[in-house]
Amino acid sequence: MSEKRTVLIVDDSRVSRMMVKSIAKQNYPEVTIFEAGNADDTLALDITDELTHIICDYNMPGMDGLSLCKALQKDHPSSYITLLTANIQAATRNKAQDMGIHFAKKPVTEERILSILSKQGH
Amino acid sequence: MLPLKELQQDMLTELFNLGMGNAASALSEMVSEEVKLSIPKVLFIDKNALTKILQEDSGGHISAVSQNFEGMILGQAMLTFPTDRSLELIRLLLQDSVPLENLTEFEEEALTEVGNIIINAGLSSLADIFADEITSDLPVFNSGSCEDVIGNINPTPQEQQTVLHLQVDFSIEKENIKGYVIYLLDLESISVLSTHIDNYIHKLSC
Repeated sequence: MSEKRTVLIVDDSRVSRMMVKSIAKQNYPEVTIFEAGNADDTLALDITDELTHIICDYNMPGMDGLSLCKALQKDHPSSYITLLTANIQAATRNKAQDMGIHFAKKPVTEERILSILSKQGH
Repeated sequence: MLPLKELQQDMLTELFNLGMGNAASALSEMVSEEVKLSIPKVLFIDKNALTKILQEDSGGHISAVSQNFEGMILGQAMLTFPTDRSLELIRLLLQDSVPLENLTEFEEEALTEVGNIIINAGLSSLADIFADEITSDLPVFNSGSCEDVIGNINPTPQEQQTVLHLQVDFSIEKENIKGYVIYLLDLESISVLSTHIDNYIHKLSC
């Protein structure tokens, strides 16, 4: 797994961020990771690197994950964006699909995260 | 007297059974152990009676993650387990993501995320069955005596004290960890839910 990954993880749960980060680092030692606990902090990061992957929670304080993904799509059109959420309702999945956002259900597992990181954006 | 007819109650039990199946599957993935579930109990009780049930089964102190939800129905969902087993649950959850000596630092956040995943698995299943949507607030963690924890859940006006208490016991047998998932609905939401159930039953019988 030598291809370089640059991943943005957005989740208000620090534990979930740690789990995603741990799996990513174990499998892609060269990975660069940016992380934030909500939409405001994410937008304040002012990331200039090209993100290969964005993994974003849905239910967070302030702006929800889908609205944030929409904002991020503009600046990172080639990123593989995934909504990683406990809200596994069809309504939420459909909204993500309509926006061209991939959907993965929580909990965070190695299989799920590696499946996301193995994919490529546009 | 129960505000729901026998068939409605049967349907409700089955719906939550499905929802909790999803929740148990999620918990099992998180802790890499088999999770066993009881058949859901559907009770119409007040919060004092709920407190007594939890006191009898937990030895007095519980940790709980609660989440308000709204949409087709409005209420609170809660995951509870005895406080003295919570660190064991976290150890299973985090495995080697966090050094053992730092485990307590993440106790509250880890349990909150467990609650978030389990509660939403149940709610999502319910919303999908009725082809509707339920949105939930952020999860809130509480720990203390049963009385304090139940008292901290959105205080409801006196006339809405009767709540639908759906209780599912889950256990991770190897680790002797047992807990409850509880859904609390006020009378108005129970009435809305019974209409949804009637419509669903009507569709099934057409």
